[in-house]
Formats: sequence, structure tokens, C-alpha cells
Amino acid sequence: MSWQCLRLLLLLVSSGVVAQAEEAPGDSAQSGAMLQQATPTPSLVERDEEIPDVAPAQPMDTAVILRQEIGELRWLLRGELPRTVAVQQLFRVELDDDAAVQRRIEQLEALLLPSPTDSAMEPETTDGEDLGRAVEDGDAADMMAPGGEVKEHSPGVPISQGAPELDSAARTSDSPTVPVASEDRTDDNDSSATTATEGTAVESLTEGLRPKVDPAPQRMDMDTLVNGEVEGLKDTVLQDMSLRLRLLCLRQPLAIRLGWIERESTRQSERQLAEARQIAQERARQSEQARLRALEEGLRATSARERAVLDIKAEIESTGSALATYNAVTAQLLADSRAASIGLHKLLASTAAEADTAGSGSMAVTDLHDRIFARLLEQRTLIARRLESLREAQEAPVYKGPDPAAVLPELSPDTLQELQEAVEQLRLERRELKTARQKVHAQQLYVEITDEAAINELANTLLEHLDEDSHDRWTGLGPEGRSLLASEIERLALEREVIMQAGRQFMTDRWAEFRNQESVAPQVWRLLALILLVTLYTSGKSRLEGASTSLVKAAFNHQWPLWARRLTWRLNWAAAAFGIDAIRLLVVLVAPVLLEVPRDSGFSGVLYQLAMAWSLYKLLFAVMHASLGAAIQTGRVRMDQERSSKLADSLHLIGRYVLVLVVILVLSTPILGQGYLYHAIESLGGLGLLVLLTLLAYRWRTETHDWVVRREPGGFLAEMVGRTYQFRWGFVPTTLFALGICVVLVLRVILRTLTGMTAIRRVQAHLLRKKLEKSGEEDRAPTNLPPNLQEILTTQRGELESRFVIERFHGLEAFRADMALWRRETFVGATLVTGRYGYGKSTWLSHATQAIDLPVTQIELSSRLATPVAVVELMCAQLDVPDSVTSMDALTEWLNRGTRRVITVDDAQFSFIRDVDGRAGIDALCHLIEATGRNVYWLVAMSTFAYRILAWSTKDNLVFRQVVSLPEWQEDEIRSLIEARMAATDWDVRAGDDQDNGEAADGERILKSTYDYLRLIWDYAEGSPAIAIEAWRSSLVPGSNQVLRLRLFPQPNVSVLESLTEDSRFQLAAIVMHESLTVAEVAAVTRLPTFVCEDRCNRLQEEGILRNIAGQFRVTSLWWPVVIRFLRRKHLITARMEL
Amino acid sequence: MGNGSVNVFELINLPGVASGILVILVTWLLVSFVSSLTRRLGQQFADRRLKINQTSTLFRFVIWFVGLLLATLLSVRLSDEAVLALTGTAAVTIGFALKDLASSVLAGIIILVDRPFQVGDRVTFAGIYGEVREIGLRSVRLITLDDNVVTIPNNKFLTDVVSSGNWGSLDMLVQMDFYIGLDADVSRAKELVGEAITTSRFAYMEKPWTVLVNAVVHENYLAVRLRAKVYVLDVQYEMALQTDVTERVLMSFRKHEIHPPVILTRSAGPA
Repeated sequence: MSWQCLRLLLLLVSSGVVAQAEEAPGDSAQSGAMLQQATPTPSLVERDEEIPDVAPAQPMDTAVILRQEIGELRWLLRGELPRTVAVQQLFRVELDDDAAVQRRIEQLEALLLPSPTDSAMEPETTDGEDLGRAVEDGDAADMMAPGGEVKEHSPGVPISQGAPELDSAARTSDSPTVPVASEDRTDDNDSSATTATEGTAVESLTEGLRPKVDPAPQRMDMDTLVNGEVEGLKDTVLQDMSLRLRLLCLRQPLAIRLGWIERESTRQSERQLAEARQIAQERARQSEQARLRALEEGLRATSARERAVLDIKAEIESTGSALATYNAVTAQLLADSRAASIGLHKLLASTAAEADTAGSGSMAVTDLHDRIFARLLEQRTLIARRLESLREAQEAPVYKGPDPAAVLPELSPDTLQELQEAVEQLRLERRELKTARQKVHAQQLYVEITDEAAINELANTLLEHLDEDSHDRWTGLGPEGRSLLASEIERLALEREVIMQAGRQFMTDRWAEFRNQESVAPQVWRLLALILLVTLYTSGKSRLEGASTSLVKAAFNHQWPLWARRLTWRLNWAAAAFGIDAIRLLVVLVAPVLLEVPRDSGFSGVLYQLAMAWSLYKLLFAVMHASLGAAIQTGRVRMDQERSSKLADSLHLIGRYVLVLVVILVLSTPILGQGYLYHAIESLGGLGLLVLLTLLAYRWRTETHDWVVRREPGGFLAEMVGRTYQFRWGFVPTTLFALGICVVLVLRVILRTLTGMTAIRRVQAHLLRKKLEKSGEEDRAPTNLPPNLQEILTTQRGELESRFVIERFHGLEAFRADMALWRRETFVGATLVTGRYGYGKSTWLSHATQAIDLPVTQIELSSRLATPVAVVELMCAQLDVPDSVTSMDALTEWLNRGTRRVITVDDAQFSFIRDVDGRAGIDALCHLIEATGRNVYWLVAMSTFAYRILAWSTKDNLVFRQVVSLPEWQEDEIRSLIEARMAATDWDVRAGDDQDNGEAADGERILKSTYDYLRLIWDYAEGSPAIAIEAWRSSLVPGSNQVLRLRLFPQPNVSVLESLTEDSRFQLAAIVMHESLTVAEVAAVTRLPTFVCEDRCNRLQEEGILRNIAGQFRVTSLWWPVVIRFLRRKHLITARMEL
Repeated sequence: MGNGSVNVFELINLPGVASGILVILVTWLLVSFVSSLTRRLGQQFADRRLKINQTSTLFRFVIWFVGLLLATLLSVRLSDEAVLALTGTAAVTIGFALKDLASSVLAGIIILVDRPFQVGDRVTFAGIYGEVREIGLRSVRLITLDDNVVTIPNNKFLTDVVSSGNWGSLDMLVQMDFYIGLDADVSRAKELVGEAITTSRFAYMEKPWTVLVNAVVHENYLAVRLRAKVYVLDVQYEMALQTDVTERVLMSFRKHEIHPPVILTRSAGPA
């Protein structure tokens, strides 16, 4: 018998019933009260029929607890909420959390008694459902005898399954295989060991659920257990029933469970309000009695002073009584408001359900809409009245008696202090109550506004479900439409009042929160967040620009890949162009999160939507404006100032129109809902946009026509455009045709972009290089190419090089235009061409002078022109001037007297050196250009580094009218160059798998095609064709049958550079900046001893970094990119020098 | 000790002291490693040297702070009584004794956050000019141009004026004065000074240069002052730049016969 008792305890503990009774000592009285109410007396029977209210305490009986719990669960299943039940505590789970509820269900299912039906015949849930139906039908109640005894059950009644369980359990207890619990195991902790039918699995499941229970109340002596078998069976049945009911409750839909929680919350709130009212009324009653007593005593007073004191006391009590009444009224107001709101929500819910049932377009929906619309107007009237009452003075009762200290100065200090404290207390109480009343009014207003919004939303929803005729009537210009419009306009005014009131309330609340110590931290955080946002907005632009500039410097100094440098440049440009707009948008996005204000409702929501629309508009317009400006500035878009301003105006117009439209829609949706105005704006907005676009098309008709004719000069459509253009409506076909062309162009651009992204090509080249390096393909052994191949792959200037010219001459058009203008006008004609090593400056000069019908003299400097005399001598030698011309003045005069001509000066970096008096040569040349430039057009080429030094030291005061900076070569251009040269040979280039030799190395297999390898070379050369050709030449290994094998060209060893001394680095930088220097010139530039310079230059030459050509040291081609990168890293070459 | 008072020796956790010492040792090793690593990185990437040094300072600061805190926690038993004791008389006494140290540590944090100067800056403080080598927990160390190490407590920087010449940049404006006589060819001299500063290998070409001319009294001589302003490539070349430019200027002045200031006499004309 003892195992049954222990099992019962296990189930009790697992279900949490015992824990509920004992877990919270503070609630023992209440729990006890509940238990006393639940004792098996006649009242217990009545408790099943009415909501339990108050329950007595001791003693605690398991059966009583179970009966009480079963009753409560039945009330829940019938849709009622027992007054003594805390729903969340009853189930020991968060009922609004589906996952938690499911876990709880699984735990409880594990505790159910296994029955033959459960295990063999039916799923367990069937039992629960049947049981639930039985309970709802009242059958379960019939199972209980009035005294709490279990009735005999019939096999057909599901609830009776408890009896077979007991039989089964009893049989199991007699089984010798089941361990019978000893007396020591009657405590709760060991009870699970006796549940042999459930085994250890149940024990483990219940382990976590079992609260700590004092074992003393459950400890029973063995005699009682033996003699009370029937009692034990009864408890087991009750326990099982309780579990099943509990499961049934938990399996209820979420909506029903939420309903329990809501009702519980509402009931608690009502209870608190009732208590508050009761307390306030009691206080008023007591104060009134005290006042009367004071008055009576005053009548009996023997002295005037005593009478005065009693009068003051009476006045104090009177005021206290009035304040208490005032407080009671406040509580009543709040209760009334909540009750009204609950009633309204029920109405709305039922109306929405009716609308769903009725379906769209039915007469019932029309009727519902009319009713809701009428209710909406009533609600607005209510809100208007509430606003009026808020504006009115809400005076609370005030103490009007005399000041005790003033009228009774001779009173004893204690009495006087007592009276003054009482008066002061009244003053404080009045202030608090007045604030509370204001809050209640504000809360009422808030509730009513929320209700109004809900009604309005429902009305708008019903509007969408009206039949077409009704919908048109309500959104048209008829009486219904006008009334709806008037209603929305009225709502606008109401919303204005509400927003103002909300603002006032907001300030009041914030001030109250600041005064409340508990809410100081959030307020301080909000303040800090506000300061942070303001700081971000005010100083964000400068910091952003500073950061982007640093990024650009880093990118150039560290020789990041080209795509990365471009990206940094674009970021820098973007930061300067629309950084502040981006920051504004960021601030708007972040502000609601940091300030912890809602962005989808209320006043802050409206502000957020407005700010978001404005920020987006500003950002988009700034991006558009900056992009357009950049495109015009860089020449990608050719547009005169008039057209560009016209374009900006047009885009501005569109932007503003869209902004206004969006703002109105955004504002109207939360304020008015999608009602009359929304539909009107939506309809008119699309129409207005069409009109606007038509207007713009008409405004741009001339430009559109010109563009169309230029793009598509022939064809039927072009002909039609040409014929109709003269008509007033001619812009329509023109615009349509232009739009078609635009679509085609956009598609082409997309395709081109996808197939030609530079970044992707860079990455591919980098990966290929890494693979080749890893595979050991790098072969440093020099190869001897056949002479004809060497001749074709030359980088020396000459006739052969000019055969392989690639049509790539940046700035040539500008030069020709300047030249043409020079020939008509009289100004100094001088153009400077700059570019890095190997970019094709000489080729550019040659090509530029080919088509000129003037005498052209080409001068190439190969040694330093240190003095004006040297300049004059060189010019005289090259220009074939008479022998009498030996001075600068004579040369100038001769050139000015002669025919107009063009003189090109290549490698002009030889005309100066970075030393004191080192600019004499270039100064003389500039003087000559300035003096003869009206009769002679000077075309000068110079390396970029030298030009930057010159421009910096002269502060850009150079004589040249225009400077052409040659950009780096693109991959396809370098590929074309090399392929053109290789096509001129009779050699085939084969890489990797193309080799006839089947024993190709792994690296060779990686070189699957020359295509990939040329990309690698382009990446390495950083856009320099000379370096690319050198690298290509170093990559070729001649084989048999006129076949060239491709290998990775020898890579410079960077560690050699790292080991250079500081002076050597400066020497290297000097050579790079001048492109070539003699030892003496290196010594002059760096002011180091000549022998030191000579020694180090020789060492660099031995390492292959420098080469010596006629005493001039210059960096070898393959080392150029590496040296430049190294010098950038050492801060000896800066980003600006390469621009 | 009565109730509420704690024996100081009871606060010390003897086994923890050994661990604390070990932690300090590890911290020191870690700081040394970070310093060495950043120094090498600074040499490798000269253009980012100052940024690397600044990062190193921050790291060292944090590592020391965490290490010391950890060592303290390991070495001291911070029971409730200990905390009470530390907040009592002993704390006040120790606080007064170490208030300068505490204020220096707090000032160090403020310097790191407010950044009136950064590691690598050339600063002038209380008449001392030098490069900031280290911003430590307690003090800032400057290296003067004559290679003296000057240690200044951090809290001094909170109240006194400090000027930074480069403020986190490698480049810095350098100013040099040259004096010539009133009878010299001023324009030619200005050109020569300009050439001298633009041809120096230490000049920084991304920022502008200028030469200003003033007539001043220089050591009792009426003179023309040529004030050259140019940015140096790297603050470590400041003196090298000055030397290089001065050499170039003096050589060119000699070559072009531009003389220093002298006392000139003017003869009165016929009455």
C-alpha cells in the first residue's frame, strides 16, 4: 500500500500543486484560505457552481487541493476565470509562450498514469479530449459524490479510466518484480522509486519539475497507509483527473489562453481600483468625522485660542476629506474609462468578425460601415470634450484656513508645529492628487485616442470592403464623400490638438522622470544619445572627410591594388559630395533606437517618417548633383552649363514633387488612415506625375530630338521623329523613341559592366600569380630571345615602336582644339604632356604632330640642361639656326621672325635638377616658350614626378596653357599592344597544356592561356605598357619549331630594398623623381659625398635595381613597380606626386 | 581588530601574491612584445609610424591596467569586510598618499581620450621641446633634441598649456629665419631661400611652402629677415631639414654675394 501513497506524492509534487501551496510562505494565508473554503462541506458543492472567492485555511488535505484545482480548471474550460486563481501560477508556465506551453504539455504527459487503453487502444490525447468534453458536459462532476467519494464508473464513460489505472497499479504493486517502497521512502525525494510502472524515465522527467517540499506534512505512518487504501485510490483518481484537465487547458488555442491572461489582468486592475476607491472613501469618512468632532469640541471650547485651534483643525480635516473624495473620483474616472474602452473593443471585435462573415460587397458590410462611421464621430466628440476638460483648470481642494503661525503665535511650539505639519502635508497631498488627476485625464485621453484610431482603422478597412458603388460614393464628391472628407479634416484638427497635448504630456513626463531617481539613468542615457547624435551630425562631415583622406593616403602610400585605390578615391569624393546627407540619414535611422522612441506610431513616428523622407530626398539629390558634376568635370558627359542647370532643375522638380507626395501619403496614413484623402492623393498623385513628366518631355524636346537624331540618324522611326518634330505634339513620338533607345543603352551598359569589372580582373590576376609562385614556376634564369623577337618586343623609341601604336591618346582632342585656336589667335601656345614611366609620352608627341601642316621640330633631351647657355646651344643645334644666333635674345628673335612652327621637347625632366640653381635650364626653356609662344607652338613631355616637383617648387607658375596627364593603360589595351607585336612575329606562344611536351610542370599547367597571363602582367605593370612588354619579354622561353613557352617572369626580391640604408633610400627616391641621374647629380640632390653615391649606385646596379646608360642611372623596368611601392611605404613618395 | 576592522595582513592572499607576481611578469613580457612588434612595424611602414605608435600606446596602457588589476585581485582578499576596510580610514590614508599617482593615472586616461598630443608628436611643454616617446600610466616621456629624456607626470598636462607641432601627422611645419643686410638684393635672396627649401630632400611636397620678408632689428643690427616656412617630410628629420636648408642658403648667399646685416652709415648730402 505504501507505494501508492508515495506515487501519489510524486504526482502531486510533479504537478506543482503541493509546491503552489508551500512554495511561497508569504501566501500561506491565502492558500490556507482557499483550502478552508475547499473542505468537503456543503459549501464545497456550491463552489462548483459559483466562482470561488474566499477559502479558509488549515488543515491541508491532498484531496481538498485536488478538488479545488479540478474545480478551477473546469471554470477555465467553461470560459470563466475563478476569482482566486492566478492563471500563470496555476499552470506554472507562460501561457502566451507556445514553445513553453508545449514543453509543459510534454512534461505533464509524462506524468499521466498509463492505462490499458492508453497503451494499447487509444492515443492519450483522445482521453484528454473525451475527458474535456465530459467535464464541459458536467459528467466529471457527476463522478464525484457529494462527500467527495468516487462513484462507481461504467465502462462507457471516459472519465472512469482512472479506475482501471488503479487496478492496474494495484496489480503492479503485487508483482514481485516491482520494488516495494520501504517506509523510509515515503518522503518526496524517494517517491519516484516506487513508481515502477513509470520507471526511471518518469523520475528523470519529474526531477526538474519537483519543487522542494518539506516532507513533514506528507509523512504518514504506515498504519494509516495500510488502512486508508480507499483514500489513496481516490486521491490517485483525482490527481489523474487534475492532470488531464490541466493538459486540456494547456492545449487550448493561444487566443483563449491570451483571453485568460487579459481577464486576469483586467480583474486585478479593477480590484486595485476598487480598493483605492474604498480607501479614499474611508479616508473621507474619517476626515469628516474628525472635522465634526473638532467642530463640536470648538463649541465646547472655553477660550478663543482653543476655539481657533479647533477651527483650524476642523478646516484641516475638512480639506483632507475633500481631497480623499477628490481621489476617489479620480479612481472612479479611471475605472469608467477602462470599462468604456473594454466595451468598445468588444464592439469593434464583434464588428470585424461580422464583416468577415458577411464578406466584401455585401449590404451587411455597408450597414456595419455606417454604424462604425457614426461611432467614430461620437468618439471624436468625446475626445474633443476630453481635450476641453484638460484645458480647463483641474483645481483640487485646497486648505483655506488661516496660517497657524500667523494667527496663533502664542501657541505652544509643539501644537503649532503639529498644525503646520498637517497643513504642509495637505499641500503635498494636494499636489500629488492633482498630478494624479492630470495623469488620469491624460490616460483617459490616450485610451480614447487609441480607441478612435482603432475605430478609424476599422472604418477604413470596411471602406475597402464596401461594394463598388458604395465605395465610389464614399470616396467621391457626393454627400457621403463630403462627410468622409469633413470627418478626415476634423480628424486633422483633432490630431493637431492631440499632438500638442502629447507634446505637453511628454515634457511633463520627462520632467517627472528626471525628478524620479529610479529613471534618471535612462534619461541620462537619452540625453547622452541626443548629444551623440548632434555631435555626429555637426562634426560628422569633417571627420568623415578626414578619415576618407587618410584612407586615400594609405591606399597610395601602400600601393594598394588599383581597384582599391579607385574605391578609396570614390569614397573620398562621396564623403565630400554627400557625406553630410548620408550622415543625416544615418542619424535619422539611429535616433529612434538610441532615444528609445517608437518610429511607427505616435508623434515620434510622424516625425521619424518626415525626417526619413526629407533625408532620403536630400541624399538622393546630392548624389545626383555630385554625380552629374563629376561626370561633366571629367568629360564623361559633355554638357554646357545651361543644359546642366536645366537638368538639375528638372530633377529637382521631380524630386520635390515626389517628396511632397510621399510626405502627404506618409503623414495621412498614420493620421487619417487610408481613407478619402489617401485615395484622393493616390489618384491625383499618379496623374500629376504623368503631367509633370509630360511637361519635362516638352521642355527637353529639342535636346531629345537632337540626341535621337544623333543616335539613330536613319530608319523609319527616325524619319517619323524628323517629320513630326515641328508639330506641337511632336515631342511625344520623340520622347517615346528616346525612351526605347535608353532602354537598349541601359541593357548594353549592364552587360558591359558585368563582363568587364576591373576588380574581378585584378583578383583573377592576383590569384593566378599566387598559384604560379606557389608552384615554383618562377624561373629566374635569363633567356636569350632571337634577335628578331627582341627587336619587335622593344621598348625603345623608334620607327619600329611607332608601327605598333595603339589608338589611345588621352587629351589629344583638347590639344588639337588648342592648336587650332592658337593658329587663329595670338597667345602663347604650349602644352605639357606628363605621365609615369612607360606610359607613352613620346608616342603621344609623335602622334600629335603627325597631322599638323606646320614645320615640326622634335627635340629629345638626353642629358642635363643645367644652364640657359646649354638650352640655347641645344636649340640652335636642333633648329638649324644661323651661326650668328648664339644668345637667348637672338634665338628668340629668330624664332619670332620665322614661319610658324611646332617644336616638341621630349624628356624635359632633363632640363632641371632639384638643387639650388638647378632650375636654370627649365627657367630658360620657359622663358623661351613665353617669348616665342605666339609664333611657335611648344609641345613638351615630362615625367609625372618631375612635373610635380616643378609645380610644387614654382607654385604652379608654369608657362603651359594646358597640361595633359596620361592615365594608366587598361588591361585590354595592354593585351592589344602585346598581341599586335606578337602577331608581327612568326613565333607561337603556348602555355601549359598547349605544350607539345607532355612533361609540363604543374606551373605550366596553371598557365592555361596567355589571356590570363596577360592580365597578370597588366596587374603587375600597374598600367605601364613599357613595364608590361618588359615583363612579357622576360616570360618567354624559346623552344623548338618556333614555339615560345610562357613562364612567370622573374620577380624582384623586395628584401633587397628593405636592407637599404636611409641615405640609399633617398638616393633611390632622387633617381625615381628625376627618372635618371648621374652620380654627380645624385650627390647634388642628396648633398651626400660623391664617392658614397657612386658606391651605392653601383651596388644597386649589381642588384639589378638600377641600370647605367651613358652614366645615367635609372631604375630597371621590372623593378619600377616594386621600387615605387617601397618608396611610398617609406613616405618618400607621396600620393599627390602620382596624380 | 574589533568588529568592522580588518587586519591588513588578512587582506593579503599569500598564494595569490605569487600568482600576482607571475601575472605582472607576463604583463611586462606582453608589453615588451607589443612594444617591440610595433617598433618594427613602424620601421617597416614609415608612413604609418605615428599611427602604429599611438596604437601601441593604447595597447600597452590597457595591458598594464588589466594586468595590474588582475594581480591585485589575485593578491588581495576582497571580502565584504575588506571592502569595508578599504573604504574606511585606510582607504582615505592611502588615497591621500597616492593621490598624485591616482590623478596621474586618471590624467593618462584623459590624455588618451582627449588627445591633446599623441605619441610621436613634437610638443612644447613648460619650455621643454621634444618628441613624445611614450604616454604611460603615470607619466609622459619626451625626448628633447639634445637626446635628454624628460619625464612629466600626466596630471601636469591637465592644467598647463601644451602645444603640438604636428598632432598625429608625420609632417610638421618648420620655420627658419635668415637675416641679410638692408643693402642686399632682397628679391634674389628670397628666391634663393625658396630654392633652398624646395630642393631639400627632407621637404614635404604635399603641403605649401612660403618665404616671408620683414625688416627687423636683429641683435642691434637693422636687418631683413627672411622667414622660411616649409613642412618636413617626417618629424624625425626636423633638424636635418634645418641643417640642409641652412647650408644651401648660406652657400647660395655666398655665391650670389648676399651679405649678413651690418651697420650702415649714410653720408649727409650738401647743405
